[in-house]
Amino acid sequence: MPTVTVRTMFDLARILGRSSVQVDVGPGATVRAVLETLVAEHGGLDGRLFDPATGGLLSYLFVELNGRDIRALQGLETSVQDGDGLSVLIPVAGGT
Amino acid sequence: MMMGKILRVNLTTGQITEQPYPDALARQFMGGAAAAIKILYDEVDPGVDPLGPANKLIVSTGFLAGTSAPTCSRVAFVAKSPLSGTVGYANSGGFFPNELRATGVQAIIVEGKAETPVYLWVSDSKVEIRDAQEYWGLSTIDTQHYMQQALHDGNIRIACIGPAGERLVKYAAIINERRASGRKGLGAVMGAKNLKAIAVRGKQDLPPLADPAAFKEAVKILHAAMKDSPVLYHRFRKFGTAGNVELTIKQGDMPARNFQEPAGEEYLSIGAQAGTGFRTRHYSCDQCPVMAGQVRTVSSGPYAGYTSEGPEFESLYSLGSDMCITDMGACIAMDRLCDELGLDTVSFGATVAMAMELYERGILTSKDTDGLDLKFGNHEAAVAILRKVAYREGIGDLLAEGSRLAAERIGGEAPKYAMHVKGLEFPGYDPRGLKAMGLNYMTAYTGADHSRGHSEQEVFGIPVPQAVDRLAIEGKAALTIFNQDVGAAVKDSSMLCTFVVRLALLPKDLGPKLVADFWRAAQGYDVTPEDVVRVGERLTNVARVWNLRAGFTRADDTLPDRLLMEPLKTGASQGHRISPEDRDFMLDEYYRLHGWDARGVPTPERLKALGLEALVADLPRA
Repeated sequence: MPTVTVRTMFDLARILGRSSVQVDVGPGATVRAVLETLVAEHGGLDGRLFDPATGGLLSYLFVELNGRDIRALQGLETSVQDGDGLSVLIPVAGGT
Repeated sequence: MMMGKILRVNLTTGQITEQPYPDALARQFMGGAAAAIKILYDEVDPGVDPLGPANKLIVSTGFLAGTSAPTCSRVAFVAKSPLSGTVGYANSGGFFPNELRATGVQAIIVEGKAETPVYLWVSDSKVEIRDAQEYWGLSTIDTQHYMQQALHDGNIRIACIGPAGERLVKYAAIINERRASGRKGLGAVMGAKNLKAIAVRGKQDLPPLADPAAFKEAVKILHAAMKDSPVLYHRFRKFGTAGNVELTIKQGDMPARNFQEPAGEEYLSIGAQAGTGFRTRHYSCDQCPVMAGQVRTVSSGPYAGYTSEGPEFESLYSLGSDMCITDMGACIAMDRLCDELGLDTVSFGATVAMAMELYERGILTSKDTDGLDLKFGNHEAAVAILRKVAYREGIGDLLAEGSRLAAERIGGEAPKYAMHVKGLEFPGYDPRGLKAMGLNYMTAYTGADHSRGHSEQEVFGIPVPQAVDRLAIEGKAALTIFNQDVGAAVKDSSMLCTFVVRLALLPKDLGPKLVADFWRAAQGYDVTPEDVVRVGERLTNVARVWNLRAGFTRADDTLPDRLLMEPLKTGASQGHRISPEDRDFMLDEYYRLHGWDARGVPTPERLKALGLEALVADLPRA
């Protein structure tokens, strides 16, 4: 079963209680599945990652898989592998 | 034409003349830094001694300064840089820029050298060169305080130098209020001219706008875009630029230990969240509703009592992680001291970080460092060195030359550890994990300068013109040209605040369109967003040709060996570097897309297409 390390910052890290957590997902899982699992395991994240209107990420977040912006890959539908690192980033002095 | 006049001040002869703003300059270069760099091109031989009387200092505001458009109180200082020998350009905000514009002056060209220390007084009714001997030796803060007191007006705004500029430290800053035109050593250019300060006080109305209703509409659009940003009034106001510490640590791109490693989580102690514990108030420039400036005070420990407007992100890297300093109090103290004494925080910290590496490698010993134990992380030694640099005492005299020249003088292997491009030390983004930033550092006309073509898509994930893979080299030439040319047009010509452009305009791809709206409404020119971008392209090409004339070549468009040969060892960018092959691939494409030849020389056709026919005769021969 793939395990992905999710790293985040600011209020998201505060909710998680740490800046890095391990998330287990099923074979063939995507970035979306990792983040949905994270939200399911940490209720405080509900509404803080996904925009309920669009189902996409909130506009001021961006996500990197192994250092690569997922929008330059297949977005939330990008497949993850065991040992991958997923960073949920909150730009402050830049970004949308 | 709503542009103000141009003042020409010759400090050698004492002559002061005024001229109307040339319409051709306003049409081709808009104003701000772009116009100032064109003046540099026309008037300053690239071969001059930057600290000699033939160098000129050009002070230039944008056409939006003093208008009702928010966040436009910004000023450009331009001269040949004594640190790099390239075009030197730095800018700042605060209140000085709008005050200068209210005197009716758009730009000042300072020539020559005064025999004794002077300051320039510019008001509605008079322009005078005045004796400044009573201010020589004072800090930037005391200079402003006592000059305002002597002139009986606390609303006078002053741009000045401190002891570092007086002593020609190669990275001396110009300070107005507590804002710094820090980089490129332009404070030393003032010092070399015996020019302590420029003091301004104006109460004039601006010349009439061509279309006040259209201008008002553009202001409305700008305010709406700012309000619409999910970050600007929320997170950016709360954290300021320090928020980049947390972000770049996560990306593995915040340099530490003189670029030997990326900063890890131990540097969260100098990040934005830690910084809120030190914040005592917010600060804003004139006509800025955002108030993102963070005034921080140290209330305990060895640096208790120090207050600074900052440190900004770049200073948290240079005064913090690059020297392996994790103590926020030390960073605040050094930030304050750099501002007081008139030093660029970035070049200072990066130069000392190099010295720390040389010390740990045994290339420098305690005999060279005046007995200081200059190992990484020793903030007491860093503070001691700071004063020595500003006053050029002991080892400070060597380090006052900047990393490139200091390393050359030390000799042996030392130049290997000097982290700079064209003599300008790096800011706080390691390009090994940010390839377009790397290409920007290689090609920016000022050297390793993030402000000339910040890869906002890579660092902040802004998907305009498109989302990018920051670790890939493909597509980075076009992206860098976009960032440099559009940035030059939208930020360095109109002089809109870079953070508002980045947070409110870029995500909507609104920059060139809104600047065109403003430009049309202010000046009455029939201009399009494409015309705005064309201004940026002209600036890039004018600066390039001037640097070529100064002797720079393709061989200077490179990175230090460490970034070319040593992959990052840890973090989210682990394993990445910009190899010499990557460099050549990106450079070739960059030159080709610019319409430059393989040497990086603009072609005559390209210059003619930009309306820069006059530059063709200056091109180096094939």
